[in-house]
Amino acid sequence: MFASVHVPESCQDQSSGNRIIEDLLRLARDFSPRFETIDTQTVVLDVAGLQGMWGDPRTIGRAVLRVATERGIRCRVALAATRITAMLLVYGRADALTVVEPGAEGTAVAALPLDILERVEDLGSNRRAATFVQARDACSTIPVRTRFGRSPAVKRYRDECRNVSRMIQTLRRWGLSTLGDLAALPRDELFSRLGAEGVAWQRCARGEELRPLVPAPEGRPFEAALDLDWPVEGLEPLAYVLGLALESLEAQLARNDAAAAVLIVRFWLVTRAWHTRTLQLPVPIRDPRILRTLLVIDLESHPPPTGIDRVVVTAIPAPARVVQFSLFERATPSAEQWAPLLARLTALMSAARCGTPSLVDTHHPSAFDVKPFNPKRLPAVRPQSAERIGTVAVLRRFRIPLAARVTVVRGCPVQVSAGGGVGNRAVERCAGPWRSSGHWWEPLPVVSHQPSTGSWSCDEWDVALLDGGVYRIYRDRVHGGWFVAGVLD
Amino acid sequence: MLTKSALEDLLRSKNLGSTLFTSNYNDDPVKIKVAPTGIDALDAELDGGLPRGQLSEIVGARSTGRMSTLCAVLAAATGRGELVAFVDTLDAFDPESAAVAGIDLSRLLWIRGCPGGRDKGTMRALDRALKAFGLLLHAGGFGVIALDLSDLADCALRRIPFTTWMRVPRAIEGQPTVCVLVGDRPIARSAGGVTLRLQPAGDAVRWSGAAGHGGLLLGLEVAVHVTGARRPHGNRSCQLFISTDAVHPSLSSSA
Repeated sequence: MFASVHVPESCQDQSSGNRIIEDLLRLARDFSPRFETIDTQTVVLDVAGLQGMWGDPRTIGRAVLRVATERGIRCRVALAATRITAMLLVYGRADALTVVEPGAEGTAVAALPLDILERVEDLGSNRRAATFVQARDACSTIPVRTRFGRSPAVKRYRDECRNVSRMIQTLRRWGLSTLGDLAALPRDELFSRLGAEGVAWQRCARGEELRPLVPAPEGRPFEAALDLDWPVEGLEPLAYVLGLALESLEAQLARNDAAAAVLIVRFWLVTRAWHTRTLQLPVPIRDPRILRTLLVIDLESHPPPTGIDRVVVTAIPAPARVVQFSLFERATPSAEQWAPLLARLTALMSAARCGTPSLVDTHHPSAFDVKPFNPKRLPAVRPQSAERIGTVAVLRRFRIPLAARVTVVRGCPVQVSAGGGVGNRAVERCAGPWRSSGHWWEPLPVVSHQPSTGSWSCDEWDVALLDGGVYRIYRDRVHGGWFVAGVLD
Repeated sequence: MLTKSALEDLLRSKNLGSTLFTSNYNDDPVKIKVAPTGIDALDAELDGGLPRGQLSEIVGARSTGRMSTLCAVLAAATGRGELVAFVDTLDAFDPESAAVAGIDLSRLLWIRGCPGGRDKGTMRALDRALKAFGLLLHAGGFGVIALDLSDLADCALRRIPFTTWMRVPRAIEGQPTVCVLVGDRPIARSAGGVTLRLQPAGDAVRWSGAAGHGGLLLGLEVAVHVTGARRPHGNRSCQLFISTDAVHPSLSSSA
């Protein structure tokens, strides 16, 4: 159910100006969190679910009218099951309150004149002004001429107005005068003559919805600012100041059932310059303690260069998370609990050295990738994974392969000498070689012992040395030379 | 004057029973929770698995199956749906063979240290690894947290403050987390933890076929000695065969 509130031009004062839309927005916000600004005189509210609080639709309409009258807003109100019907009724009927029963939308708008479609912004893609600011800007820029002639926006607006007028003239030539006449036309025939645009006009004339309601974004940014009496230096006092600002921000976010997806903190320094840090949060977070922890961790790595006079914290909002737990999966800590841990680990080890290993689609012996650890996007536990568990030898790699001197007799290594604890040992027994090569179409790596990129070609051996260690060694066939890749452990 | 049993009862009533060094392992089997290692022979010796909320260790020389045993523990944990963390001090972890060993890599948080060994950067890598280890312990939420201290020089290990190993058991006490150290020699263990000492056994390395070009490495034969202060049946040992199927390269490859 939608309620459309419209202030007709006859009820406007000359001096009211922008105050009308501000009053309408305030009125809409008092009744529903979901509302859309249609133009500078009209607002549509989603009143679905308000029956429990106010009563039937007529009672809701009366309540809206009463509150508007108390605030000095002379307006019309229409309630219908579709947004477009409520809009058409509030434009076309002079009654203060109109309520349409669900299913009677087409009948309710049938008597309205065809010209009223000219006011429906959905029939012109660029005429839509979602917010008051956009509507005001659009109105103010239309008559403006640029030094190079009319601006493209003005031209586009005028073209669309011309198209709408041309469409109405066409329909009038067909002998149509009301929306009911247009609604009664066969849809296929209308499509063959006017295309998809004609069908959209007819759906509008039947009171059918063309698009869902697009709630207006909150005009005010989620922002908290603190002016400090004296400059703050050091992270400890700054953390306290940030905590105060974030508590204020959390209250704003909670009122709108939102959370911070991105946090922007700006410091006005004593040197008259801004120091800005932007924190991309892993999930929308509202808890001020977690946000403060994340900010402090970030500021430890990127501290402000001098003292701070003013702190401004801005949040880019996102809908607060709704978490559905599963009875069949192991409970894990929430993303809010993971975020500080991962931030601390990243600050300590760097992002590339902290994450989840993943395999890459290559035969390269030491290729792998590291992705961010995201415990909330885990696949379900595979039952067969328990069956695969066994005592399987694992290679312990030397990430930078150790250069080795290898003595080869009759094609087999008999003596290996290398650093990293390998020493100079005789080979007790060996197996190999296994030739491995790939990416031959790519340029050769610059460093011979780091073949993680580019082409590679090597002969690998498993060798057991006399000290008991079993190593994987290889001969680089491209650059020459022997290396120890790892130890079986 | 309190008798020994009265004192023990008093400590248990104050939830300080875990501090009793002489408490019987089977006093309250319900309260002692273990995490199976995924190796049947080892689980039998461990009375079910590694104790949760305790610091245990896996020690041995190179090629005695330290990492293989750890990977089996991690694989069993991820198979149960738990999250695991591995602090890789010298960046020696091989994701490919770990995946073949059964670890669900998406449930593994891998903290990579700096590659190296017995050089100047070792102490820095060790410091960072210990800090990361501490952060993980205090964060909670992991089924297994492992710290790899293998191949580190003795002088580096000796510089670790002894209080570090006293803080770790305190941090995980009462948590369902298994804390594991991997090293060349025994480093630290909490009162309820166990030490798995791995040594080559019999024919330490098994081969197939003739020596030279025709042979194939089959696996490693190791003996595991289980040591623990609260073990009711004393120290035990078992033998394991660690297959090398996972680390054999393909005979012919092309990308």
